[in-house]
Amino acid sequence: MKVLVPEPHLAGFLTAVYHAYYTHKDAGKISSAPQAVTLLDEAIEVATDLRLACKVRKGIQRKAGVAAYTEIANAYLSCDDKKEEKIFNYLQLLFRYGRAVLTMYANPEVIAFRDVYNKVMHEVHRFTGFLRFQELASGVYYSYFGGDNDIIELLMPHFKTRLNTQKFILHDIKRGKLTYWDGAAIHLVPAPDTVNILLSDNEILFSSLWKQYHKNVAIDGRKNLKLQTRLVPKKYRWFMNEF
Amino acid sequence: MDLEDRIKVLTEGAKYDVSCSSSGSNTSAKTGYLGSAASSGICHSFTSDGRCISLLKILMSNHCIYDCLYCVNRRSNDLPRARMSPKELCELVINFYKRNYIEGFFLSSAVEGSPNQTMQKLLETVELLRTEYKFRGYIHLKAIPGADSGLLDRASMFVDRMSLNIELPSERSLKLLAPQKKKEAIVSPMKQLSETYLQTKLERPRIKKIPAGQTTQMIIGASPDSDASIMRLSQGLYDHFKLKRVYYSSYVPVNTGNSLLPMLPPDLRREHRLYEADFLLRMYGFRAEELLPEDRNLSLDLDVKSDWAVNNFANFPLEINKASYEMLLRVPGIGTRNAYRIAEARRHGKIGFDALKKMRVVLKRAKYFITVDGKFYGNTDNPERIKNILRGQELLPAPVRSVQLSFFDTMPSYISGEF
Repeated sequence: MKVLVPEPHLAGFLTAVYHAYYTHKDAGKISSAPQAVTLLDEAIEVATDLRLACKVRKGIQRKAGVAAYTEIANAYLSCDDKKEEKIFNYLQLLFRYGRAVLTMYANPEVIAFRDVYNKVMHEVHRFTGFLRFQELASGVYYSYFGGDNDIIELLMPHFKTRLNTQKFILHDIKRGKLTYWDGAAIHLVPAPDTVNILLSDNEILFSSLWKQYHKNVAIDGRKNLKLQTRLVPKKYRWFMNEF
Repeated sequence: MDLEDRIKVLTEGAKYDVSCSSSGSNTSAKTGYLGSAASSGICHSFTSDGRCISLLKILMSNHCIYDCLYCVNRRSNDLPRARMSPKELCELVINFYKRNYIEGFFLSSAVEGSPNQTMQKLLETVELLRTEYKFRGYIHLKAIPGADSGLLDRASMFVDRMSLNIELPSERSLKLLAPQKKKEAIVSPMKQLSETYLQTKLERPRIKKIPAGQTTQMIIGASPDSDASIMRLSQGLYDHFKLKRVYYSSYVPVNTGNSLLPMLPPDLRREHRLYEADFLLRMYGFRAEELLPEDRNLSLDLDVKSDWAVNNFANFPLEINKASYEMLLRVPGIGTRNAYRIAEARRHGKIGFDALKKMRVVLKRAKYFITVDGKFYGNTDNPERIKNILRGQELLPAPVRSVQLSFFDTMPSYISGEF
């Protein structure tokens, strides 16, 4: 089978989609995961071409609407190593059926795609609640975290509107990505290897008040740690100060 | 007492209030103001009892003039008392909010001095928070029964949601366990708030009063009221007062030595079943009279929808490719999301059994109540047996073991490359 191997970013993937339709019509799948190409497969590396990627984006938007494209772009942020195959399968339906694909909930390809998409969005939703900020001596609020999916850019708009009165930094430690709001604009930069932070005087107080609150508001007679673990998985607790 | 201890005391006093939701309000952010409210609500943490922390839930004061038997803060209880000033509360909210610990503020209070004095203080706090501190996050305020309607109306300008606790499911129980609280003092402000909410919804005025509506809460298991009477009450509250939620709180024996109260906490499954029934009323189109036609309690060992379905088995099985959305909602194992998805998906072609599985319909329940393209997949259509199976009391016959075809015997492996 011919496998198109794109560069590992959205534009790369969309370029590969273009080639699957026009230059390599016999390609069986798209994947940049190393294990996706077996001995019997023929790997074709695809160089990213922004012009072609843009064509595909516009094609999706014309065929199924702007929101459908946003879903695909967000699904691409997933950590699922089969995401490109799943999105490509879904795209083939999208190009064939147009908007109808949005409600084909019983189609296995659509279900596979929606599972990828929903997992990303679920993590985004959780993180809008789970992220913690520390006030630095400089008055800037700093938050570090790291989840399964690469969602820093989906988190930023939420916090930017909500906390527009304060300067803050979001730092995805797992991916080495950092984005900050300086009160006027958003900046996305590669994170430095080490970060030294100096906390404000208030920080210790409010952090300890919060930990105390978290403990006191629980009803002892109703302890249910299993439920708690399901709702706040342990994999997220390292960046939440109350745990 | 220092701040830390006071916060502790006032949190302990507030924690038995179960409402935590921060949903239903959609306040967009505004430049220069702190915060917004997401219509879905956001949970920021979960406590060791598995409850969500969305709002900073705290009392303004736990000095109480009342002596309600079931309440931890009753006057005759010997426990540390504290109060916080509006400014202290605002500082706490703002600092928690800026660190993303919370989605908003849930302020309540014991009745100190008089209902009006208490309500006045609460109003002062939320007004300060909204105007001086420019806070646009979610605020849920408890209204104090017996306070002037003018105070209530003014407070509703500053908050997303307000609630009055109905406390106990019947007037008789209220008289017995909270003799100082009068039914009228609870019901008439609820009526006022329902009018306020409707006005906001229908007329879309510039100042939106309680855009997230009102809720209430009642204690379950402290009085002998049956589930049937409780559900009828909830139904009435949803119908007539347009409540967003009714919360049920299983009685926790916080006070001992009173013969009017049960010594032991009630079976927690009862609270769970009441919530199931409540969701069936709000989201699934059921009526209380359908779920509990006689005066009885909900079954503890079978979920409410399954219980209803086996007792009304004449309605089933339903053909998944034809049944109306309203009927799909009534199938055990199909929730609101899947009912919608099935209704949408079948416009593009017939839905098969495998597709239902992939859609994560809970088939171990649903299969007894549906046919898929004419075929019934349950192993029995006897409602009594279904009831037992669903209760987990009847062992299912062991499936016939079929010999599994080996992939490697018959086909060359494309994985290892052997031909």
